[in-house]
Amino acid sequence: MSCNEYQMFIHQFLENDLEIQFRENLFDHLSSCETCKNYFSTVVSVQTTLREDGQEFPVSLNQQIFSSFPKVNEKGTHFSNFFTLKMPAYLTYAVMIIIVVVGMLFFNQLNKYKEELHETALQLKEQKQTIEMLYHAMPTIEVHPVSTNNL
Amino acid sequence: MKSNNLLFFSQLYHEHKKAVYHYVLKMTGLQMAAEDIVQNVFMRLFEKFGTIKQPDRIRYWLISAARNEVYDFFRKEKLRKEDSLEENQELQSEHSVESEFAELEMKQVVLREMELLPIDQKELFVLREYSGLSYEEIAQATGTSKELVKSRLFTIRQKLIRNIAKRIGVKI
Repeated sequence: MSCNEYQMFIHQFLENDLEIQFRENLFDHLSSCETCKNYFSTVVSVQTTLREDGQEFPVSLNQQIFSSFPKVNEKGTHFSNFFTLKMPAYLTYAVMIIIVVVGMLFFNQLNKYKEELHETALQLKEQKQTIEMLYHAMPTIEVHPVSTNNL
Repeated sequence: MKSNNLLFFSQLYHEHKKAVYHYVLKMTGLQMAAEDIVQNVFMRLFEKFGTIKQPDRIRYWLISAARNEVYDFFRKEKLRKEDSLEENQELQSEHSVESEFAELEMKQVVLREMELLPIDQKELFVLREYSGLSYEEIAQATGTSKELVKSRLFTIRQKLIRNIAKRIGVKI
C-alpha cells in the first residue's frame, strides 16, 4: 500500500469511517513512516483549529435576526388575542348581541342608581333645613347662678 | 405562527445558525455580507416555516438557501471563479512578503490556505468541516454523488494539509 492510501485511511479513521481490519495496518504504517506520522499530526492540528474557529458566532446577530421578524412572533395579550381569534360569523353576532344587551342593562341600572342617589341627597337636604328651623324656633333659656344664702 | 412553532423555530435556529453562518462567512469572506445573508436565510425559513413538510431536512434546506444567496452575492459582486483565482494569485504574492511570525500562527495559516483553494473546492471543504454536513447532504446540496464528494474531499484535504505542512515547516 502507498502513503497516499494510508493518508486516505487517516481521514477515514478520524471520521470513524475506517474498517477495523485496516486500523492495524494504519497504526503499523504510522509507527514506521515519518511522512505519514507528520501528516497525521498536521491533520489533527488542523482539525482542532477548525473546530475552534467554527465555534465563533456574533452575539449581536441573534438580536438582529429576531428583531427583523414580523411582530407576530411577540406574545400577544389575552385582549389582543380575542380580536385576532378566528370565529364563525354566527358566534361573532351572538357575542356582539350579548355585549349590547348587557351594556343596556348596565346603563339602565346605572341611571336608577343615579336617580336614587339624587333623591337621597334631596331628602338629606330637607332634613337638614328642618333641623335648622327647629333649632332656631326653640326658646332661649336663661341660666342664673345658684346663691349660697338660699340653702 | 403558533407558540409551539415559535419554540421549534427557535430550537432549529440555535441548532443550525453556526453551520449556516460559517458556510456563508467562509465563502464570502466578508462579515457584514455574511450577517445579511444569514438574516435573509432565516427570514425565509420563518416565512415558509408552516409549509415545511420534512423538518429533518431543515439543514439541507438552510444550506441550499444559503448557497443560493452566496451565489447571488457572487453574481452581484462579479466574483466569478476566474476573479477568485486572480485574487488568489494576488493573495499568494502578498503572502510571500508577510512576516515569519504571522506564518507561525496555525489558525492564520489554515485560513489562508483555505482561502487559496478554488471556490468549488473551498465550498466542499467548508460544508464538511464548518457546517458539519454529511457526504450525502453535500452531494444533495451540490448536485453530485456521495462517492464523488468523498473522493473530491480527500483530494482537497490532502492538498490543504500538504500546503499547511509546507508553511509550518513540517516535512510530508
